[in-house]
Amino acid sequence: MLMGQLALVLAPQARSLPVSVSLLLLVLLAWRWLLWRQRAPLPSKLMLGVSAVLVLVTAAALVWQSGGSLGRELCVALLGAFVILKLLETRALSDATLVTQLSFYLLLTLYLADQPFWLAIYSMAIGAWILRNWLLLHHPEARGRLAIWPLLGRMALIGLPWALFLFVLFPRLDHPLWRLPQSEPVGRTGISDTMKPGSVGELIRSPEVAFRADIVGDPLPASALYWRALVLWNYDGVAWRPAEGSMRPMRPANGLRDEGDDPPLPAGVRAYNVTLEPNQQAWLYLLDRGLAVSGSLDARVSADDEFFTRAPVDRPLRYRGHSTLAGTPQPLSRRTLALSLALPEGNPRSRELAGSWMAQYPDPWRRVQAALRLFAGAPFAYTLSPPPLGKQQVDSFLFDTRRGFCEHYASSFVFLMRAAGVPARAVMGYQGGEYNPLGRHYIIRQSDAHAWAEVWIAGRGWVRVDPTSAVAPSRVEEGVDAALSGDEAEALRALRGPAWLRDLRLGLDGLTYTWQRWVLQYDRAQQGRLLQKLGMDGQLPALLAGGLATLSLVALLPLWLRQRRLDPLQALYARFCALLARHGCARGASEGPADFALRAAEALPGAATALQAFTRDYIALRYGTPDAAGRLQAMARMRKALMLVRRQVR
Amino acid sequence: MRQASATAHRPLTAWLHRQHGPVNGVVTFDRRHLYILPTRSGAGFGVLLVAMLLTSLNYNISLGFALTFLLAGIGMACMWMAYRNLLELAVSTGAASPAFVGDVAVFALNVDNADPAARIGLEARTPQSEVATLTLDGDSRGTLALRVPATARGRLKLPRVTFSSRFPFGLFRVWSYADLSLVAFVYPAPEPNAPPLPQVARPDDAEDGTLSVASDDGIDQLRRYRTGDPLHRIAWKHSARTGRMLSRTGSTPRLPGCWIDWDALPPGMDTEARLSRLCAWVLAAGDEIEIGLRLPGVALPPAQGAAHRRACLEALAVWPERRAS
Repeated sequence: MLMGQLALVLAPQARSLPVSVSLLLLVLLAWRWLLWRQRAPLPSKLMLGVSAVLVLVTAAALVWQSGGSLGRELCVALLGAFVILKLLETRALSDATLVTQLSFYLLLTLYLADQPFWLAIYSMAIGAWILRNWLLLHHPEARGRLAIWPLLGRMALIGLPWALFLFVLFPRLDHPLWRLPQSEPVGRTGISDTMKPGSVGELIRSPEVAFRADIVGDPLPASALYWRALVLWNYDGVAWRPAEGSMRPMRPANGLRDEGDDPPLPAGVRAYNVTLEPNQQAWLYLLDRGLAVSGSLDARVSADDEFFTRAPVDRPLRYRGHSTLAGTPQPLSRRTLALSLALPEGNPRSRELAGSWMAQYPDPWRRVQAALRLFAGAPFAYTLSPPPLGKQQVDSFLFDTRRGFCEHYASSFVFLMRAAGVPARAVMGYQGGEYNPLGRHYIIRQSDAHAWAEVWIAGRGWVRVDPTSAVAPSRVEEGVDAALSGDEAEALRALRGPAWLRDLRLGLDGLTYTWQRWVLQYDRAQQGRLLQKLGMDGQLPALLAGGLATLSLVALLPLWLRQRRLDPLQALYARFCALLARHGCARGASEGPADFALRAAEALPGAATALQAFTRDYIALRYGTPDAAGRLQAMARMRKALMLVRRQVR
Repeated sequence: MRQASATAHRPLTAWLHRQHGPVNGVVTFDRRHLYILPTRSGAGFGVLLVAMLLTSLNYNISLGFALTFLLAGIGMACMWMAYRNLLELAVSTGAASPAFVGDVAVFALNVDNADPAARIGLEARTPQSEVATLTLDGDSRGTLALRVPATARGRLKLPRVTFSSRFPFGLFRVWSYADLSLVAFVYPAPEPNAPPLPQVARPDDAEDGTLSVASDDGIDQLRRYRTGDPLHRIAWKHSARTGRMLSRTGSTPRLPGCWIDWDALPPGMDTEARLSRLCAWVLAAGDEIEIGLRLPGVALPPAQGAAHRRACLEALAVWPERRAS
């Protein structure tokens, strides 16, 4: 029983553990299972010691391998191994209890990596099973006598108010108390900060969700959904990279109150919420052009309106953003100007073309138009599998292959513009997104990754230009599937599964989104908002104490109700005694009702008849065997007599 | 400081140890007499919850909070379940079986569950006895046997019985006390290898030495076996000697006045040793021999049978009291 329990608890752990560690745990468990199967005696202390040392040595080797840091996953694995070892020497009830209790902790560690919906269901089911086993462990005799599942259900129901209350109101921390390094910084997903041919293209095949967003107010047209993240300045002939940190100073981002009522927004400014999937990257996605994000993030913003978090995003992150869709004219500093015109050597044919535009069009915007016209022209095509480029990449693309993906177009466009004397830069982010009508939010997938450009036009500031939209307008309007032709689109669609799955998928997605939003994202900020809504801002301790007191009282209620269920005859007699006691005639502990009545009649002669009558009936009912009707009549008589006594003793 | 804590402690212990006697012979565990405290395992569970809470706090794991708080809630529910497992249980006295010194006296307690829910894993014990367990279905009654070692001759009062339960998870222990008046007699320990019954043991029967001889004695009371004579009336030894089947006549053994007498014992003998030997003799007499018991101040006229033997043993148990009532 305990073995199965441990196996089930540890199984999902394999998601985040190295294979070798998972295997070790499996071997330990299998060992225990074999012993049980063959009813063999448990291993000796020596054997256990040797295994423990073996486990420790393995752990040490792994620590050494990972460069001397004891990772979170490894800690969990160690704990798991020692719980199994404990199981290997479990003889007494207390050992089994310890293993059971530790199972709960192991269950908790499952959530360290991530907390998807299915895991919640899974762990709750396992938890219930552990509880059942725990009960049977202590009370094997309960099997068959007791409906265990209903009992556990009832306990859960009793516990639920406490759980809910504590979940909502228990104070959360802003910053962790300690941090165990994660053993590997892998698992970075999404766009990277380097753009070169093929870097976006490889994301296109992934249907994984990058983030979800719900936009306050009317839906936006797809052509406005540019989720901007990084600005790339430096080109080395192959790849585009961000400018060095010192070139683009950071400042704290404008903080927003997280959720709730926005003040009326100026025209052209939109508010939205983004729930970012963990991607181990430190930048945020905002609609082009971001103005501010949630203050609780403590984010920073660069001079190019890129938003950064303090630490890589390692758990789902929800934030609010404000963006202006109108664009703001900004002056161009001398330093930025130099940066936005810098080009590496090479690509003579492209330079020549750009030079001719510069001579032909004195207006920079006309040069932009010329480039877009070039891409819209015949031989340029949008494809997932572009032919390889030559050494002079821009030349090779513009004059030879002419088939490429968004990064090819963005890259060569910015090159042409800089060569033509127009300040330009490349931008990475996502474009578009699938609208989920069920959750009323956008799902932005890795396949929506995109690269585009920005040019600086005097009087207008930095203007977004998407060269891809010139060659394949449907990419922007309808997404990648629509922009690709024939086989490629088919292949992509096959990757996403048949169409009838779509609704189901969207439904599930809505569930996930709600789950993330209301359960996983519940943190200090949300707690604060909730309290604000309740009008209890800053009264958390009082609320917590008050609530716990109330719950305790409610918990005692059943006791009260039980007390009230006293036999009515007894209750009536108790009232009788209490009444006489108030008038100076308390019944002795060993005094029978008849003796008491005699004494009371002497002490309170005014009520003598009535209290004698009351007592007669009481004795008859208590010690006789009256039928139901007689009983009722006698009770009624007693009530009247009691009232009479009350009046007479006054 | 110590003094203060001591004085603060005394009312608590006094309250804990106050009598919880029967009403009309029944002790009912009402809420005024039920106590509850976490067990060691319960404390461990508390530590575990704190660890889970800290982990959840540190990594801000919402699901972790949910699990932790749900378990905490279930822990609360445990308290109530544990409490309910003993609440309103009615205990009354059953029989008390006597014992010889050095044996165990068995006290039977009737436990009555008027509730429709089952009561699981009830434990009862006295300071001296081992734990007796009982599980009751809903609306049923059962019997608990408490085995209390009998250490001293006399009346053994059932000590205060502690009823407890750790249902359902062993996190909390609920307990209550029952002060029931139930008495078991503790007979003196029969002397091992005691000399044979006096007067009955004849020199010519020395080959056997003990009571079986006595029961077989008296030739003049023998007659020829008739069909229908009960087996125990057959005088086997004489039958064997004479070669004829002989039966003993009369409804009583031949020696009506076999007195087991305190004063007949050697004068230097210690009181308890005397009682032990007398006890051994009473037992040795069995059902066959009529015996009378004479102690200083007490005399039981000769008779036979289980009831008489018990009266004798009880008289031995309570001596120097006059009467074992």
